[in-house]
Amino acid sequence: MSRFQCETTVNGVVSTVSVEPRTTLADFLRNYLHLKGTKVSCELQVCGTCTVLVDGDPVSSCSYLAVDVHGRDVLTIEGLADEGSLHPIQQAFIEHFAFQCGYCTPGFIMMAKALLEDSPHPSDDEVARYFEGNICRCTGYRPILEAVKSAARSMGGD
Amino acid sequence: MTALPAFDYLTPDSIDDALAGIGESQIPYAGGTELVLAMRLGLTRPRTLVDLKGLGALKEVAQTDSGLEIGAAVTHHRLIEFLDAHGPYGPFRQMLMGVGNPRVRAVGTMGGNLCFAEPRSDIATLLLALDAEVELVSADRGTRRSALSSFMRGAYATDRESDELMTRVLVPPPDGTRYTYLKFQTGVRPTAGVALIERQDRTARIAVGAACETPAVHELTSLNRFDPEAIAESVETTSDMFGSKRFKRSIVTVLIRRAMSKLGQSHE
Repeated sequence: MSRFQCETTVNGVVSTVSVEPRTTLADFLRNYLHLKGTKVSCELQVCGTCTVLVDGDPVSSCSYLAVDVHGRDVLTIEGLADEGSLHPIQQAFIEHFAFQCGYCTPGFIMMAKALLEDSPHPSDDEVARYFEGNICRCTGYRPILEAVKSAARSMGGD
Repeated sequence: MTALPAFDYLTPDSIDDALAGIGESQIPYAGGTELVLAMRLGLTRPRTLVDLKGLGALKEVAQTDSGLEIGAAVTHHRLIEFLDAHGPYGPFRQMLMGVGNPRVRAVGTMGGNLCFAEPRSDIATLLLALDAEVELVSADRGTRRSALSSFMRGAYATDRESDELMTRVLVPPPDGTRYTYLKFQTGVRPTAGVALIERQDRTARIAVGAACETPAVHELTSLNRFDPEAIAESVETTSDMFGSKRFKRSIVTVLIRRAMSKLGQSHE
């Protein structure tokens, strides 16, 4: 089977890697680029754990082919913090105890990033609907909702 | 992580190239939201994926006097952005906002949704009620149009031949038709979905989807003269982890009543 030269920018760094077409984006990130922050769980696009952003859009990296990020920009949880200071969404998740075991957290945070880019001041209902496809078995979701709202306030400056 | 079976990958840059590439085991590929999962589960094992995302013509969408013309590789998200929430396609847009989750909507396409023919497709149920057509093209036989009602053959089955590519989805202008789509959903896909339309001459149509293998359509002479329960009873519901046949019929009844009340009608 053929291989494909995949040239992509991940967290601001350009990489060119030869991949088999069957390589998923999650596999590419974790095992080719050794970015282990992206986790994989259901592998059915149901749980949201593996969410990363491609050109700003959230995708399930477990079911998304690495060849599809050729020429595109990928942002993972590792790319959020700026020079050692946490992103406001990460800070808000800590302040609101919005994770316990932490496995789903990178996915929730990347989804929150996508949501707040599109809608800087979402209502409770909007946040809840946006996260319908993300599963957390620890928190009961309320602290996550609070964290996202709090991040929106600190990012929006009002 | 479960590895996908190996396959080749083609990136045609014209529809002709794409048509030369597709076949029995050379499958058109766009968002992959259904196909990649089916491949991982071993339900399908194509030799080659023919990526349509480089074909600009399949990513165009236009609203004209003859209706909505949606390129087969237009994503749900792109279509939501295109449609006016308050225009004649407002309820269609509302339905799209409930498809899957934001990740599915970002990459999943209209053509992919209809060609995969997953029985629990919100899109198929509503588009069937709206008399949508699909446009298919092949290298040997040119272009043809197929009404969605004949295109949908059953669960995961359509009348697309393996050498045909879906190019567009055509939705006629609602022209005074009032319509709504309601569903009941606890997982990532609906347990039942109901599309109800009422035309200017007061005749109506109900399409019931997700609870059955392929959407069931009922024509009504008036919204005031029919029994939601009888319609639900006539649907050949399927039983699965989301509910028994009887449970789904009961959900369908409720959804029909709610859809009627949403269109401002009362059941006598």
